[in-house]
Amino acid sequence: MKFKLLIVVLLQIIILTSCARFVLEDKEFSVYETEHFVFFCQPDSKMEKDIQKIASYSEKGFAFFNDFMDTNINIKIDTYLFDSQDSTSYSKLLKSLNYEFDFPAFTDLNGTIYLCYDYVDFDYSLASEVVLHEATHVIQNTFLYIFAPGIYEGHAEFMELKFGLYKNNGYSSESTIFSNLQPQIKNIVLKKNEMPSFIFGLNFAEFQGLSINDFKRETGYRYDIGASFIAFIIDKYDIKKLKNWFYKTNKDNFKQNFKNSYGVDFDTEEKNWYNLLMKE
Amino acid sequence: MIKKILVLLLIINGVLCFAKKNISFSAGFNVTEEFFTVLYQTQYSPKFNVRFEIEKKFIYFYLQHKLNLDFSLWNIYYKNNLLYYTDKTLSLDLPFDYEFSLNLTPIKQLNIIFGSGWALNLRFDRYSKGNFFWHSTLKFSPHPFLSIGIGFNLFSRLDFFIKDSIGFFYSYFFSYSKESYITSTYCTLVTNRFIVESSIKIVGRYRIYFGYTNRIEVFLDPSIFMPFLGYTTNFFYLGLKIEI
Repeated sequence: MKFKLLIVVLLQIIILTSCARFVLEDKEFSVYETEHFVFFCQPDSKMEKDIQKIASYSEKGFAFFNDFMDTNINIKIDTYLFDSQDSTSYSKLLKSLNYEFDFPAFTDLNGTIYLCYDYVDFDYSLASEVVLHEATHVIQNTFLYIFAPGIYEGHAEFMELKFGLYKNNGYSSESTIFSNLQPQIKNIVLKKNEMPSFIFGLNFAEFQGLSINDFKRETGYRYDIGASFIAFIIDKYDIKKLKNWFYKTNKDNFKQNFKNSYGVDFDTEEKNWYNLLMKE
Repeated sequence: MIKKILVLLLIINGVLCFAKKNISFSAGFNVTEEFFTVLYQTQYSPKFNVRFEIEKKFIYFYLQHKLNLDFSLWNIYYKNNLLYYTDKTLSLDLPFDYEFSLNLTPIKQLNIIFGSGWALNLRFDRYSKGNFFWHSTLKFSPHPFLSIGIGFNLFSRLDFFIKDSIGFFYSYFFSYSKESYITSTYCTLVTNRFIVESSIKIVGRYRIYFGYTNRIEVFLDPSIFMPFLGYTTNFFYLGLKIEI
């Protein structure tokens, strides 16, 4: 695969001999800035029409995070918004090279968010929930130093679901999130035995079920299983302990960090979570 | 074994004693573009270069050792028409390389260059994240490279060459939030450097040279789920070469 990529890149080098602006977006963005985000979207796009609403809800999501996690984080996150993956030149470039590109929303190494609007069926309210999911990753990388993909996706998914419930109903509880996820993940946990301890110990490629031949991914219900366990733990313990657990946690030390923070074995709580999940 | 090494060192030393040595200083204008899924940083900055060369001529070829250091430190960049200029934004570009080349000279006016060497590309970027936070990445990319090129000598005073080098190895990324270390990772690096340069003998041991270097660094890593992330730098320069 790397050999194939190498050939492709070398071909590009020969053909283009530089200048990224010829193949990637450059100055075609409209910019909309809020207290915690700088949004970039393409002119005359559906995103541009809804940008103010998305921005307003995203700010509410950010405030919700600070309030719920008992933090006072003040950061400004670059957020690139596209109508669809097909409207990104990067995706076009990959498709022309016969690669699938199935990442409608993600955060890159530099803490920049990318979101494709068709992923949420052009619903600005849902878009803001996904923005919060991705912003949670930026906060995790910047302040909490979580390096266990299963945990940071579980936490981000939990925040997305919680904010969604709060936005629609004016309140949200951990037990509601747990109950909503229960029917979807119960059978998966039973059949595939994908327990949180397994998911939290995976690296990024393993967690995403990434096929390196074509960049296709198959995550199953790992996001939801992670979110369910986080909801269970938050419902039971203080949020401060969650932050202690998360701080400098990675896929190798998460069990030890858990015990240091909660004073209980991870396996014991995992068993409790499992028993609650299997309850009718 | 030790005797053989000593003899070899003596021969090299003897050859180098009678070799031509040049030192060059140049300054110029650099354009760097950093890209990921979008082009998110364009930087125009001054850049400096120091070069030291040792050259030994034989009848139909000459050997050349070359040490090359570029230096650029700048804290202004553009992103989608926005100018970022704060006390937190900073970019340091410090590529260093050693190259040994065999230059075939079938006729006096022509030379064909075959080279190889090691380069160490060091790049540090600090990005602003609002008024209170910043994020930094240090990219450390040691790699071997192979070069091929062609040079011309015209009217005995004017030299001109085109050269392309390709390198392939690993690159190491280190991430920092404010000053705190977050994580490090490594990925595959593919790099290409294209140089066009010309020099004119002005008087005695002095030559003026000018040229253009294009460097592309592409980082490939499926584990960070993006097939490529990279830089292009375009360096236009003017300098003075002194035979010492």
